[in-house]
Amino acid sequence: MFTASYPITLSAGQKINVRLVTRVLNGADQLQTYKFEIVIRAEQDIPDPDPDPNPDPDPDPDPDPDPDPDPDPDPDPDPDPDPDPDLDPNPDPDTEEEELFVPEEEDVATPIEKLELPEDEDVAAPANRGGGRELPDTGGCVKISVGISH
Amino acid sequence: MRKEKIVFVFIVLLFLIVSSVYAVSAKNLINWADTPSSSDTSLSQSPDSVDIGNPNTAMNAGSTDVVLKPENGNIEVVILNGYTGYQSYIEASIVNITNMAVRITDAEIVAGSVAPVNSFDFIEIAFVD
Repeated sequence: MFTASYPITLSAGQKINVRLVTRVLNGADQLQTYKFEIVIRAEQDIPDPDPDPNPDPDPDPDPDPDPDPDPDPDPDPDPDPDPDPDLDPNPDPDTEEEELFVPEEEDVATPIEKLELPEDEDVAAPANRGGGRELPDTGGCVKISVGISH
Repeated sequence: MRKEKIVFVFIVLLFLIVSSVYAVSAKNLINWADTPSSSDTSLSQSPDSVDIGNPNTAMNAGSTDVVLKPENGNIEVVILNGYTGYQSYIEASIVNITNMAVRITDAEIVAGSVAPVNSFDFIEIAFVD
């Protein structure tokens, strides 16, 4: 058995066959003699001192089978950045072109002529209504007598 | 305060003991086993060849001999008439000499005798399938 898979692990007392390649690299002089030794480096294969005796075979048995790929598929793609782009923050009072309402002449109502009030002396005293008699001065009170005639 | 010093010294000593034991055991984890072999010995007179991807041309001049050195347990490699792009294969066995699992991490060139040029600069080795 030949193997080149690292790391090669040997159990206690195990023997394996290995194959190595030697190659003369670029830059060496032609037809030279090379003499060297080969050693194999190895280290103890220390096992995990605390392997998990009960590894969880399925740490997440119920993952979300249908996760929402797009929680908000239709956000406002064109929010109005300027709700009133024509609003002049500094309007020029001299350039105000708002047209004032001017009523037509015939629409204007004729002002009511001032009524002339008569003078006190011009007012005729109320006529004495016939059939009655003048009531005596009761000092602010009115005494009414009612009689029944047959 | 004195109790804390004693605990600190104890921890340091424990760390030194554990690290020294680990260092000693790491040196003697594996050995070469059996006799290694080369794909292109000086006696075989086999033609040289290069793998796909090697941009150089085989000159049919080089050879590779390997021996297991008993004094240190390393594999000694001698390449004769090496040239740019020359390559050969070494097959060997590795045995885990401990009673615990070990992991092979790398294969590398060590000092050995360098003649006539520094092999560290011009030789590449690697595990292959």
